[in-house]
Amino acid sequence: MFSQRIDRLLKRTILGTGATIAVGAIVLYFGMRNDVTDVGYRPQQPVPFSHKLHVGQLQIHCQYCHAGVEQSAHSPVPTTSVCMGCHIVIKAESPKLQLVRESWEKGIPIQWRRVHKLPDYVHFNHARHIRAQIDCQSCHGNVEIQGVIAQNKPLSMGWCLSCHRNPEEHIIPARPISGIFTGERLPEDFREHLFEPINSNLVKGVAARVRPITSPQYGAWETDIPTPVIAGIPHPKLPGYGPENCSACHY
Amino acid sequence: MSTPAKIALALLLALMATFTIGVLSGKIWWFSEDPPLMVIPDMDDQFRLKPQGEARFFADNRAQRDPVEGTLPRQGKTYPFGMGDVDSAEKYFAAGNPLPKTEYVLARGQNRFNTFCSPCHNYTGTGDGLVQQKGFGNQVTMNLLREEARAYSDAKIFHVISAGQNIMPAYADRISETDRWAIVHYIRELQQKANGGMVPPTSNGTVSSTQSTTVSKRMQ
Ligand code: HEC
Ligand code: HEC
Ligand code: HEC
Ligand code: HEC
Ligand code: HEC
Ligand code: HEC
Repeated sequence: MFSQRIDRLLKRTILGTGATIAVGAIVLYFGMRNDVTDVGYRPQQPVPFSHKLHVGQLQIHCQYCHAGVEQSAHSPVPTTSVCMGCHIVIKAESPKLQLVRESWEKGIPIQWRRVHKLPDYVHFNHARHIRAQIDCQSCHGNVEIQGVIAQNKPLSMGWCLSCHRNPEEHIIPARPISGIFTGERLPEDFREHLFEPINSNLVKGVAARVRPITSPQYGAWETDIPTPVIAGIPHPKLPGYGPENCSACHY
Repeated sequence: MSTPAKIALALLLALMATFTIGVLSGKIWWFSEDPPLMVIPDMDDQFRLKPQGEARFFADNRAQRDPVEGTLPRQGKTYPFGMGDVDSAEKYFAAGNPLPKTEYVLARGQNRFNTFCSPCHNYTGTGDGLVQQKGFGNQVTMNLLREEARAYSDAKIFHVISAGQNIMPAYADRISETDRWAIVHYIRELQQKANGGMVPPTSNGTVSSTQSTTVSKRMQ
């Protein structure tokens, strides 16, 4: 139709535009996923608090500071009074702790920067997962070697569901350092194995434990829930499959 | 183009492609201080108060409010006695430990003791935990196994956990009342073990509570 030159130019323009759009779409589609955008988010915190020192070296259990993770959906970041329980004496003059002391004297909370954040339309519950004896490490990575906390897992819907479908592959069973109650005493030599799972057989044979609920919901499961032995002590259970139906997380 | 140049170019392209695929699939990542990129924010941040969140409405910016003065929670009790008020506590809890001393309660006691007490008192109660060794200097954490401590009443130990003692912090806000009594049982067991097992376990593996009260009475 056109002269050969224009024809070639036209073809190249169309091809070029197409390729640009295709590459752009691939980059946007894959690049917007949480494991690209979110993993590795490591904000600088107002106080140079180190999990590596407090958990890795001093062996303070997670629940000493994040108490309440066993009972509530939210896992609280410790209040200033928790820090001051020790730091009223320890390193009482340290300039690194200046902000903590100020917060303690004035009664103003320290503004920690939040690392793990699900969208507000997702309801995640810590207590349910902790009572199924799932260790913090399954979802937060090796916190005890991190100087500054970074997000380690994508926290995307696909990630939640892949564990709910195949818990055997994703769950790291409770370790002593997390302070998760397993209903039994620790073995005698637990002090040498603080950072290793207590019962590595915990997640075996999940399929035999669960019963699917087909109606009225799809993708929901039932497992045996032990009756509480003592009122007021949250009773642990064996993990089953997690739910897959939408209303379990979006409501 | 010469062949070596072509090979070099091909290698470079392959490297770039691997890197791009690695990044896009999330296999290659690096730390970043910038908040995650949000192309479409959806309803990720809804206008509501969140636990431990911020609320500009209040003068102190805290979303979590203290209870109104003069009100009591419907569930759970606030611990009524101040630090050092051992006498009132002993009178109030004269009945001793309300929990049965079963294997399950002891397991819970061990779990809570390891979590909350072991940094200072060590896993065995000897008072030389890692925080004590590294941080406290000449401030001594008490050995819970010594004669004097073995003679304490259950109520006194419960009181020290709930309200603290000198530089030991209070734990009433972080350990529930039931759990604190479970810890008391566990400390009693640690003391018995260290003392050559003063109270033998009964045949079903549990220690009856009457036996342990006789021991603490005799020691007083
Ligand atoms: C001595 C107290 C202490 C102990 C023990 C402790 N933490 Fe923390 N943790 C903190 C403080 C303070 C923050 C907030 C500052 C920060 O993000 O670094 C925090 C933050 C976190 C966060 C990030 C929260 C967010 O904003 O998303 C995670 C996850 C976490 N801790 C997990 C753990 C785990 C798992 C353990 C046990 C292996 C543990 N912590 C033990 C004090 C503690
Ligand atoms: C159970 C006791 C304990 C608790 C609770 C605790 N710490 Fe520490 N922390 C220590 C000890 C012990 C050291 C000092 C270790 C050493 O000497 O190297 C320390 C050291 C530090 C340091 C380094 C100080 C310096 O000058 O090197 C910082 C910062 C710190 N802690 C912050 C915090 C914050 C923030 C919290 C509250 C979330 C907290 N700690 C809770 C025991 C504790
Ligand atoms: C099944 C996965 C999972 C396990 C197990 C888990 N967490 Fe989390 N954690 C999350 C997710 C998801 C979030 C983000 C929650 C949100 O944004 O609502 C989170 C958030 C947090 C936070 C930030 C505060 C908050 O609630 O938003 C802290 C602190 C925390 N976790 C500590 C812990 C500790 C300590 C443990 C172990 C006792 C633990 N987590 C076990 C998935 C998990
Ligand atoms: C490491 C594995 C794992 C991951 C990751 C995980 N879950 Fe679960 N989740 C489980 C298991 C196992 C159960 C079933 C627990 C049981 O058997 O009681 C469960 C149960 C649940 C339930 C059911 C609670 C109820 O009351 O019925 C919800 C909701 C849930 N998970 C949400 C989430 C969300 C949201 C995420 C992602 C942010 C997530 N989970 C990530 C393992 C996981
Ligand atoms: C195990 C919990 C869980 C279940 C079950 C679940 N979701 Fe989600 N969903 C999530 C999480 C977590 C996110 C947030 C992912 C993110 O941060 O991008 C999400 C995000 C979404 C989004 C928004 C995606 C976006 O990026 O805009 C939609 C739409 C959605 N879910 C629909 C569904 C539907 C439909 C179902 C039922 C088939 C379902 N979800 C079941 C956890 C769940
Ligand atoms: C931050 C370190 C620390 C932690 C954690 C701690 N204690 Fe203490 N505890 C001390 C110190 C220091 C003393 C000595 C107080 C004094 O000088 O009177 C003490 C004293 C005691 C006493 C009184 C002993 C006596 O002879 O007067 C008891 C009982 C006790 N602690 C029990 C506990 C229990 C139970 C826990 C766990 C819930 C616990 N402590 C956690 C530091 C700690």
